[in-house]
Amino acid sequence: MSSGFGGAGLDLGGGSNIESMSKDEIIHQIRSQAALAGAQELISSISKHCFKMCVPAPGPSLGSSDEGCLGRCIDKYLAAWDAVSRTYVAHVQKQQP
Amino acid sequence: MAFDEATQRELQQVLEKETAKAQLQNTVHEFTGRCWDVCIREAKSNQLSSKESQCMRNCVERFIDASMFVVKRLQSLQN
Repeated sequence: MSSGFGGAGLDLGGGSNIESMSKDEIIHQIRSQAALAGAQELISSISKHCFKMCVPAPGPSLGSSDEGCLGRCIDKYLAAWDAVSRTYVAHVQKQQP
Repeated sequence: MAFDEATQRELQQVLEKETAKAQLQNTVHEFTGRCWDVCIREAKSNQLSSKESQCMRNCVERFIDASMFVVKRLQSLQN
């Protein structure tokens, strides 16, 4: 690890250094890091909930029926995420006059 | 850092907007997991049944109601 924002600069990987970045590059970094974090969170919750639902007794390999269930579960989880997002956003908007 | 004030302000605004968006999405992630456990029993179809999607919506709204109730109750205990 480098020493952060100070002298050595913030290492963002790929050899880029925050002190040599343009405004647009920084904005792009902020947005792509946020998108990456969101995707990681989604992958982790889908894995957790769909594994629990579809692979209740793990065998020596993943069976085709397990895979079928996982595929449907992924679609369904995304639909559930969408339903929650719509409901929550509508609720938040109702609170703000 | 050699950015002028206007650029610094713009970057600050982008960061604040992305932070707010991330917080909202974290709440959605949390509610989805919580309400999935309550409402979804199986994945025989890849879509939500109307019963399941009604359950998800009720779950989110009642969880918010319950949180508000807790806040109000705790506030009333302070007085």
